[in-house]
Amino acid sequence: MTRLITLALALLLLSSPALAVTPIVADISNYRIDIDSGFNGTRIFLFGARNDSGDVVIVVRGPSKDYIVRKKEQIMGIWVNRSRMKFFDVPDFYAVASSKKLEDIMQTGAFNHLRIGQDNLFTPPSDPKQLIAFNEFSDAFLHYQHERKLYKQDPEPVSFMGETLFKTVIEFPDDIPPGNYTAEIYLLSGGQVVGMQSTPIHVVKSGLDAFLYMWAHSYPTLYGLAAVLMALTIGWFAGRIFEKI
Amino acid sequence: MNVYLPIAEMSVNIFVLLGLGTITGILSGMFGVGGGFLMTPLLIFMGVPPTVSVSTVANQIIASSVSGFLAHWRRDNVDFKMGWFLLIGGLIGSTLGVELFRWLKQLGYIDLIISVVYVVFLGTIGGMMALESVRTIMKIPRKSSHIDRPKLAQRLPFKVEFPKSKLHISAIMPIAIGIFVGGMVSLMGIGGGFFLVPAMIYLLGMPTGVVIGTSLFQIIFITANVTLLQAISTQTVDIMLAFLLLTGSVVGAQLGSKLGAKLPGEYLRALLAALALGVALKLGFGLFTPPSDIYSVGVVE
Repeated sequence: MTRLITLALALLLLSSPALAVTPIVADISNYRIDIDSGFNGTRIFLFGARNDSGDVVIVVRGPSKDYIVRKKEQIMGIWVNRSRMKFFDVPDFYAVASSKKLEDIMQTGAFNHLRIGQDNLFTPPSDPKQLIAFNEFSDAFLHYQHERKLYKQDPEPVSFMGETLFKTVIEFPDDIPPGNYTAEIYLLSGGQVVGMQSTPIHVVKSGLDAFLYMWAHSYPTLYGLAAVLMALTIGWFAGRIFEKI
Repeated sequence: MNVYLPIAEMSVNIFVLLGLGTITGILSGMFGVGGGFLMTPLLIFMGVPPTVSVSTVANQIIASSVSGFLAHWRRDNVDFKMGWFLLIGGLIGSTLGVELFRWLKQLGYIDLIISVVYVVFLGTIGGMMALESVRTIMKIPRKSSHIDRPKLAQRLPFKVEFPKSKLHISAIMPIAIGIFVGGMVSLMGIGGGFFLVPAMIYLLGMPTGVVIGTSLFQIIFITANVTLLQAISTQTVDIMLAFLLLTGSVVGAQLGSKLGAKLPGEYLRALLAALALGVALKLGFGLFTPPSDIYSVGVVE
């Protein structure tokens, strides 16, 4: 079924006049992901057409945050968080799919600039002495994100149907952070980016727990008062009810 | 049936939480303590973040303290004047405690400190209680048969009359005790009855009849203060988790008080001591066992 839809949509794209001028056109099956209490992860279908020969690289990024990675060491037998390193402006979701292995498509330098590939997400320290620690902590961060399935490199390669049409699937696990995501589709030829398109994906929490989460963070005083009031009321009622039994 | 906890950001079986609330409720009804010392570590063992456990259990304890307090108030077992003095200290201590909590959380030490504080205090009090109850059960006579009137509370200045407890002691003592216990409430996610009750008997010399009612009176305010401040400064109060836990615990507490009436006091205390020591040991081992991953990742706030 999904194959059919893709094919139909891809044909639609092909017939659109835009293709005549743009080297790459793409679209996704879903612009919005709703996280409710029954959310169990989802997948998004991405498809498009290229008007030029070349390799296709697709990058889906979540909202950026500043992260701190801590390392535990043993002090007098007790495991304590000791050394730490901060990484600024790192996406909390990151998935890359490509028609070939990234290193076969382009020199790392150019990818670095576009922040394509998970090794290009961090700015290495200028001081070479810190490089060993930097590598250790950034590897630990990537490992952590891979464990949680929030980072993926070559999740499912971009596959072609004929010369022009391509498609891929991006998987989203059940604990994806909410926010504005982007899907970037690049067409590369001879180590150069010849076409690029960017599409937003909105990941939104919904339902009661989303409301509580939003409330706790946006109106913390009111939330705290409500929590206190709830406990007081239930405690008082329980006292009254059991007094009569 | 699973329920998603919005602040803990995890999905937990609803009956596990109700059951946990009921069991700690039974214990609190039996022993007259809040049960936080058991609830918080059990939540941590279940995988709820320690910060969320501590703040949410404070919220839950409000409910059990209110229903307990009402029962003691009806029997006129509350020394309100003493309660107010303890409360002044308690509000100061818990406010400072939440600040300390926030600071330690930022530094990345909070999980460790929660465990260490638990091991030290639960281990000490549990150990003392175990010795005492074993002595009573084995009928080993105590070295001194009479309890000395607490000397420090008599000697310090600013003496105040407490007619209900028939005491004339320095106001500094209850305030100081309040500050200490308030700090512990913020750091450990307990009501503080565990510390407060022995302190009121041995340090203030209060008659045992009014001790529980008075401690519950001030615990209501302290846990309410901690809940509010944690909600504001660390956003770690999970209202959904608190609701499920306290639903179980208010029911359990009633069952517990009926069960408790059937068991002799020294056996109850021995049981409570064994529980406290068990939790302290489990947390203590956790400090020394190598973690599954030595790296941890957090968001910079």
